[in-house]
Amino acid sequence: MRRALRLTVLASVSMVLVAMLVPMAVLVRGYGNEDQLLRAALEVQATETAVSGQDKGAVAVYLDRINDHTGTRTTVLYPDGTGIGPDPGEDGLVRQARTTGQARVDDVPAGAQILFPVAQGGNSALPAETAVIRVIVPEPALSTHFLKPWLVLVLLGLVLLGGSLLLAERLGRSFVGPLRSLASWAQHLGTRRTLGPAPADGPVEVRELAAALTRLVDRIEVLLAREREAVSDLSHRLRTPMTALRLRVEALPDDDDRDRLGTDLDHLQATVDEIVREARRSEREGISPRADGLAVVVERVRFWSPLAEDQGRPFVVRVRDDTATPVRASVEDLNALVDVLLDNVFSHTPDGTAVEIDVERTDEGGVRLVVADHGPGLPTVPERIADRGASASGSTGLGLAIARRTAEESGGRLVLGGTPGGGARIDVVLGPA
Amino acid sequence: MVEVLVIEDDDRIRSLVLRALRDRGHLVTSAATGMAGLDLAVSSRPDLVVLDLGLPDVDGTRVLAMLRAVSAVPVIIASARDDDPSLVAALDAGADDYVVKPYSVSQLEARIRAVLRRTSGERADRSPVTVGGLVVDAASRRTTLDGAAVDLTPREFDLLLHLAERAGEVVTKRELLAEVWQQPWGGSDKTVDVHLSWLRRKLGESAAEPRYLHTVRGVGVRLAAPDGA
Repeated sequence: MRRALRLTVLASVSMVLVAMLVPMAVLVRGYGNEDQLLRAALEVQATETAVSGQDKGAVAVYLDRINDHTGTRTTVLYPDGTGIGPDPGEDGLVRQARTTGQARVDDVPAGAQILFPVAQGGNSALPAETAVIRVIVPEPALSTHFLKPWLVLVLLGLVLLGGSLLLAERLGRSFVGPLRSLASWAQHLGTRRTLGPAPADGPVEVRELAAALTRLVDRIEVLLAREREAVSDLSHRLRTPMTALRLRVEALPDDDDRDRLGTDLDHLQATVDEIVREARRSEREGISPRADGLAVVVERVRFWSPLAEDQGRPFVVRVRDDTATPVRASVEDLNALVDVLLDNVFSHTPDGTAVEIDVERTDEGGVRLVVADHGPGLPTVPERIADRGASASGSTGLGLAIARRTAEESGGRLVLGGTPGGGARIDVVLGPA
Repeated sequence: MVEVLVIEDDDRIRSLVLRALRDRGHLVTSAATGMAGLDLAVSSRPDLVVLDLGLPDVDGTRVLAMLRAVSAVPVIIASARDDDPSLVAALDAGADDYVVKPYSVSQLEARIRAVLRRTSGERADRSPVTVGGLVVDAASRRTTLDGAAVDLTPREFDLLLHLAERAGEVVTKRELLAEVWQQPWGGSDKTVDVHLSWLRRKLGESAAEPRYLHTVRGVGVRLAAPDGA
């Protein structure tokens, strides 16, 4: 935004400056030229006095002096064809000036030329008795004369441009600063539990945005609190009758009945626990879950390595990156995901079976975790195992369903498959935060 | 004979616990509200109180605070609240143990026994458990092996403490899940296994060459002093 503001100011101020300074420069140049010509005219007048004296020697001395000391070149062209001074040649313009007796100013290749006829024969103005004074104001003299004003103009333009850029920068900062602190506040929504109101400073619009965000977050907090209470109530209402049921089953006189009902109750309880755990998800995660996926996953994978060692399993962990990689999932869910995948391997493959784990950062900025083993592989129709309810017995189905949900809610996926050797391979991608 | 007071508002649970504990030879009184329970706790001076948190008149945590003002009787919280804040608040308020609903009577009874063992007579201040060169101090939550401190996570400590209190006995993984993880009906054996592996490492042994921790295949695990120690 600051860059855009800078560019806009640069473009508009430059346009204004060009529109103002170019005509001004042209004017300055015009004035400069006129000034030069005015000086030249004065020289013409002075020369005229000298030429009227008829003494060519005196004229030559005079011309030598003024040509040495001024930037102009003055020549006197006599009607007999002789000329005294640096530019003695006659041309049409000279003859015309002599014939008409009128002074003139022309542009010539060397600069500007003033031709001034001076009648020498008493009061007559016959061309045959008219000398012409030629003063040439060379081009470089013109430029050096107005170079300084031009430099002043350019300097003024630069100062104005710099000043306006500085102002634009300050203006931009006054906009961008509050927006940036608001953005960083919003970034922390997922990481801190209590955040306080959004920082409200800067322009009115930003303050309004901050107030709106604060209201929104407050509303979400209220909804989350309400959900928390509802879950707590649900948990309480389910657990109390479950306790009564459990105690009643325990009091049954028949061992078989007790065992059978006890097992059923265990499953029911595991399901209830899972439902409550799921319902508490938003309580655990807050508004937006976020964790360093790579670090959490790698650490949790390594947590399982002592068990692999105890069971004599080759446990290969390949980590292809070590930069912080935030993903859209909570630390608890990431740990649970790794636990499910590794628990699965440790529970369903014989001791000594090798496990290979690959963790890497994806091109999209997420994390990829592949767990492969050399065991007997997954049951048939692998895709259905991870669907909730597909596996009625045991915890694997439920566990994989939880893992799949974590992966999918983060914007990634979980794919079940096999290794060439017939083992199981689970490929999980976690989406970037 | 142990005299137990059960403070529980749910009629079914109260009567079921009452009957089950009586069947197991305990003397049991009960109350359905916090205030009635408090009266009974002061007047009948039970050996132990089982207290529900969600009571209709006064919250269990406040009942506990009031009880603690007048009595040092051991209290086990039996509640449907299984979130950490409730658990920590109850233990901070002076509860001796915590059991999450739904619980079984055997589980409750095991807790009652453990709490009474810890709080009775000369062991009132929870003196450290010693197994061979291993000393587990529940009060300071510190462990030393042959005099050197062992750095354990809270879970590893709880696991080791539980095993040390039952030193010499085979403890099932199910029991460990129920007692240490508070997951009597769920959880995976592998969770216990991986923590046992860490514990072995930190105690400087391995599954192949055990010293203190012995796996009994298909049954559970046993903590015992190494031979000759």
